[in-house]
Amino acid sequence: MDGGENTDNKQVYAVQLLQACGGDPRQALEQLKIAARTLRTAKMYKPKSEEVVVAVDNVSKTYKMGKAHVEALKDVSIRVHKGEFVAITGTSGSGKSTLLQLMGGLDKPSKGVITVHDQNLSKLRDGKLSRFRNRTIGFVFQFFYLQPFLRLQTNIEVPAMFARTKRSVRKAKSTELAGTVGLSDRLKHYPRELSGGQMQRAAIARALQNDPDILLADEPTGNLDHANAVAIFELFKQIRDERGATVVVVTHDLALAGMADRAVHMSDGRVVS
Amino acid sequence: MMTLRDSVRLAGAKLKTHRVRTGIVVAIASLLFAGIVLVLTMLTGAVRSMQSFGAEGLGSRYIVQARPIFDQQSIFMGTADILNDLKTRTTQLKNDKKATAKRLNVPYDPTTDQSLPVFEAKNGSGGSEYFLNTANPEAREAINTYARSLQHISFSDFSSVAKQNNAKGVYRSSTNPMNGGFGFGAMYEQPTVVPIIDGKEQVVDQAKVSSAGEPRGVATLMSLGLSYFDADLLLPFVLPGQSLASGKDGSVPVIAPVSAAEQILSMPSLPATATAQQRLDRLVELRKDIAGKTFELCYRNRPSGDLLQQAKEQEKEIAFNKGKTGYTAPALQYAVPSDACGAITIKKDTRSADEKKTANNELEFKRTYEVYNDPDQQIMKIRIVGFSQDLSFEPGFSARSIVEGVFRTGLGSGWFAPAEAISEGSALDKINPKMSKLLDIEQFYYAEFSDLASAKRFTQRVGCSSEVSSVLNFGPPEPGQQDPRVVDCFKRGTYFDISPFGNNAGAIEDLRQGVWKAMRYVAPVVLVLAALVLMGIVGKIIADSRRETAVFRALGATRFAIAQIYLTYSLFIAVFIMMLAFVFGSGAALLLSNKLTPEASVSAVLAYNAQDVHKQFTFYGVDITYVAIVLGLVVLSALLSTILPLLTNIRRNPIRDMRDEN
Repeated sequence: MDGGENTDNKQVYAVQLLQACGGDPRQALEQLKIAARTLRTAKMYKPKSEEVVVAVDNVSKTYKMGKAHVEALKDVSIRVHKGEFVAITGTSGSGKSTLLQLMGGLDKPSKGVITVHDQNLSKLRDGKLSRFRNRTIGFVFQFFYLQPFLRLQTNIEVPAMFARTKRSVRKAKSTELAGTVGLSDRLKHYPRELSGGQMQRAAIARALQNDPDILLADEPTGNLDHANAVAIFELFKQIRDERGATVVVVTHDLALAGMADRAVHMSDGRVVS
Repeated sequence: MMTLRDSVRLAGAKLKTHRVRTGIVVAIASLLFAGIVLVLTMLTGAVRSMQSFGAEGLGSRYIVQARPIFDQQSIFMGTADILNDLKTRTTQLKNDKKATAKRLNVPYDPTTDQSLPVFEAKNGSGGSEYFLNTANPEAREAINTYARSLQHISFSDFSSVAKQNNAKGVYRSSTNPMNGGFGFGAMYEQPTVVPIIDGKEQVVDQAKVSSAGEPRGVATLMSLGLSYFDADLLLPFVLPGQSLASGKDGSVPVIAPVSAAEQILSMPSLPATATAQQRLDRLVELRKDIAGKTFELCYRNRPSGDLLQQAKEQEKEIAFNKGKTGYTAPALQYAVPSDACGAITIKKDTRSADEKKTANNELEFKRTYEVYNDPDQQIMKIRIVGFSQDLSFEPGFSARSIVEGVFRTGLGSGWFAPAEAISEGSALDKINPKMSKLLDIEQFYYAEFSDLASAKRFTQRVGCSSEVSSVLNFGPPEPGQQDPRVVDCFKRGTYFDISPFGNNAGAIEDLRQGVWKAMRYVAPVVLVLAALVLMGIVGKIIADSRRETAVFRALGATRFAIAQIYLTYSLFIAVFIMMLAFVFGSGAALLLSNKLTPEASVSAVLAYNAQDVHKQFTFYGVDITYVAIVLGLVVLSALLSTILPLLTNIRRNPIRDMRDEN
């Protein structure tokens, strides 16, 4: 990479950052400070475990949108270690959500290999891939996606239904998880009776129902206020600490990303730091 | 694959979305299937009711009525050979009569003689046409000989054909229309039969009978006629405690039409608007009062009838001219008998010896050339031992018209007496066309089979086409030629015009099979329509659930599990449709049945002459076969409506679906 190209990139990032902060230079500056702090932390960071849980090697993903082909990921490679809490950041359209979903086996890369627990996801057929998602991965979404006509307890139990877990077992589990996320008193409620933060916590409980090794969260705080967002990130940390789960969270909020063990920044389908 | 319980739970949650739209679509599909349920429920009910009533009357018997076919036109007109022979005979008779008339000194004009075997008529072009005179005994004998050479349709022929086709019984009947009715007997013999009421012969005013539209009471005996049946066919219509044996008082047992029974009991006829309860009450009353009721009829042969008429006219004439100057009373006066059905006696005879001689000569002339019987009259005692439904139909759509039109058992129209009850020389014997040495065409033959299939087979084997029935009435254009269609039937060995008798089992079976056949076409149409209607909502719901499907996939659901949820969902829809279809369909059937049952029951009790007057004829019946068929159709339509949208849905990329929804 020559010096000119480096300067061009910096300018592009600066513009993107400013856009992400709504054109507010003060906020952009604040985000930069956080990023610098995160970077310093990251440089000093060493994962607790050497075991690589998720390995993304030279992955590209191209989508067909109408007649056009959109390259969402370009030659991305990252490693996630066991018990890590990783934040993937980037602006909208940078490919972070796509990367997360590929890691979760929701789709297959156009190029490259994604290995989870030494298992090449591209080689799994639908049945095994579904089982992998059901048992190994826990998904959390920005819009919670709870079933509106099921009570909270049943909502939490949905992944266990797909796993054919005994009712008594899954009920005990959902009760326990509701306690973990602070919703013990809401088990009989319907999603519409909960706040945004409570719904997201319920979604996290649902993601943990089958005791997955990896928790993948796609913009989990995108619909929450700052306090709730911080609480959710704290919850992720707690889950990582207490359950030993590996947590990968996509967020565009650099401040929240700073709460993770490390942050992976993406831009235009590439990992830039 | 998830457990059934869990798929039910998740599918149940789906049902709560789009409730209004789902409700409307389910209601529309339900109505489509409800139509099928309605038809099948009512048909099943009707068939079951019919089977229940089938044990009554002739309802459970498979009898066909056969009318021997032959070309009436040939018989009425004669063949060219017969005409030629009889023309020669007519010329010879004219000459004989002229000579005899001259010898006896009686007037005779051959141009006005109506009793010759052949009569001549001028046609429009000035030529002559010759016709047989069926009132002439020689002409009738010639026709009879000719007909017998053609027919092969005697009762013994019929019996052997029927037995070859496994008939378990053969019967016959003959009909005498009596006064003014159509038939050879009436044309030739011209007897009169009138009721005796309060010790007097009641002259039936035919004009009044016909203007009333529906012959009533005893009058129907004269207008509708009396049929003679083998007793075995009449037994089901005999009331408890009655028998078909002739009474010790010589009374003849008869089955009367309901309307006649009413009149005999002086019951006013019920209006057409009478309720079912009123009709039922009337039936019970009739049953109680009519059994064993007797009345008398007076039979007079033609000479007796003519003399009675003459006596009455003379009585009128003399009374009218009484005291008038210049009026001369007839020299020979007859007395109207004071006793009912009495012989006509001479009241006064002041004729000269010459006049008496002339009268004797005229009588001798008549006896020489015509069939002349001495005046004969006889009282017939009739005993009502049962009754059968009048042959009248209620027009339009009503329980009565349905039941009377389709589900009926009866003997036909008029009065019925056992052929065995006619003693030789009795009045009934004299008016019996079979005994009048006339053609067999006044007779019907019957063959009874143990099942409907055998009866149908027999009908197909020996029944001529219905087209030939019209030949019986209109005949071929040229006289003396046998209709080729009749000849064709004979060549094929099909000698009879056959129709079901006693009940409509064949028609009902055909109707039932027809409905099932129609259902084979209607059901797929309803299936496709319902599937399309359902696809509208199921497809929409599945399409709207892409994001949910994507989330479930992310949570670990296999494609099969997703399919399981939506198939369970469509089965839920099917269950709702089935429930509603059965509620709507059988509800409507129940309502209609409740509306039709009272009328239908009474009509059926009457039509089948049921012993239990409270027996119900309902149009409501559930049959497991059709329930299963409708269930299958509904489930199939629901599954069909799901498969296409589901296949599309589970093949989609979950990432894209989640992104699209965002």
